[in-house]
Amino acid sequence: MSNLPDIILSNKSKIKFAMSLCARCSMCAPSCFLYRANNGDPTYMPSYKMLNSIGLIFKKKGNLSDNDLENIKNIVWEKCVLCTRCYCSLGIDIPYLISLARDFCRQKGVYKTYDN
Amino acid sequence: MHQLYLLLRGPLALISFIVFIGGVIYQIIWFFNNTKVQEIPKNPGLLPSKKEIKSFYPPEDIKKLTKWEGSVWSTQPYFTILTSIFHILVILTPIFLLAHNILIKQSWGIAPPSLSEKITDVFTIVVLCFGAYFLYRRIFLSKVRIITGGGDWLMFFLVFLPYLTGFLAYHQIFSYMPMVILHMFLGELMLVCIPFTRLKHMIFFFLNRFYLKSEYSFFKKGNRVWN
Repeated sequence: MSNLPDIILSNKSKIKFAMSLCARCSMCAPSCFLYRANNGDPTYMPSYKMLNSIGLIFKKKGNLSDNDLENIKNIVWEKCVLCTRCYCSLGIDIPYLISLARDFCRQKGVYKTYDN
Repeated sequence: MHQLYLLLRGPLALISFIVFIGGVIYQIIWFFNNTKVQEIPKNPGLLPSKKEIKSFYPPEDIKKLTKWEGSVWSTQPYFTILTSIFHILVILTPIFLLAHNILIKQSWGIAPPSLSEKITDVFTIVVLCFGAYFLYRRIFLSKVRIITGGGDWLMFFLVFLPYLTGFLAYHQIFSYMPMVILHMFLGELMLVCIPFTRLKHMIFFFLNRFYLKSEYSFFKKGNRVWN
């Protein structure tokens, strides 16, 4: 059963489209300053972050385990600052999709805290 | 075996062309149905005019900012050139291949322009070399491997196997008839799969980059947003 909030459902066609269009070419990698600052760690790559946050949420229809949510939290807050500088040669709006994953996490009560 | 050849050459070829063209039209309609034009006032007053922008920055900086900086042309220029050559060749080679066009003439009476067999043979070898390079990237580069799934391998084999079998059939390296039948089957399968698999980036590269409103929209003309 789908457990997706309205914000995700209203962007369903855009998310589905991006997931099926991404050619996994990894050409977006050097456009992320965090990827470069972390010696090319592929988990900082924009496409990896998109596929493993909103992609996973969409694939699992929002039915995520605590571990999945923890991983997504790490990706969307620790590994992406939404600077919107990433570049997809096919024109996928990666920052917007990651921001949707943040929305989803907030609705699930999972967000970045600054006191630990 | 000859029956199978005739089936692939005749009705199945026609079906694959129809599915391909129909699929492309379907995807284009889907795109325009799911996006809408976003009208932007010419100058809402808050943004500086083009003339004012020119006065802020020297012209060479504007060129740098608007055209290359931040795009793959600045971050990965060599790979961008290589992959552009690959995409051009992968489309041009089958369209201008003499053997394909002879079959089209025999079947439908149309004679499309063809390149010499030597040129298309070189193009095929170049495409196959790119295939080996992309295979290397998918297996050995962690940034590509980490996001590679079943769909990507499907895309890879759908694209390169028709070229490999076509090359082997043309040079008659193995038994000709089974190889050419395999080549025709794989080529038709690729054609059918283009609009419905990741290969649809062939269509959406142009739609996304020309019609969608984005910082990197080609010629800054994109004015559509998702519904």
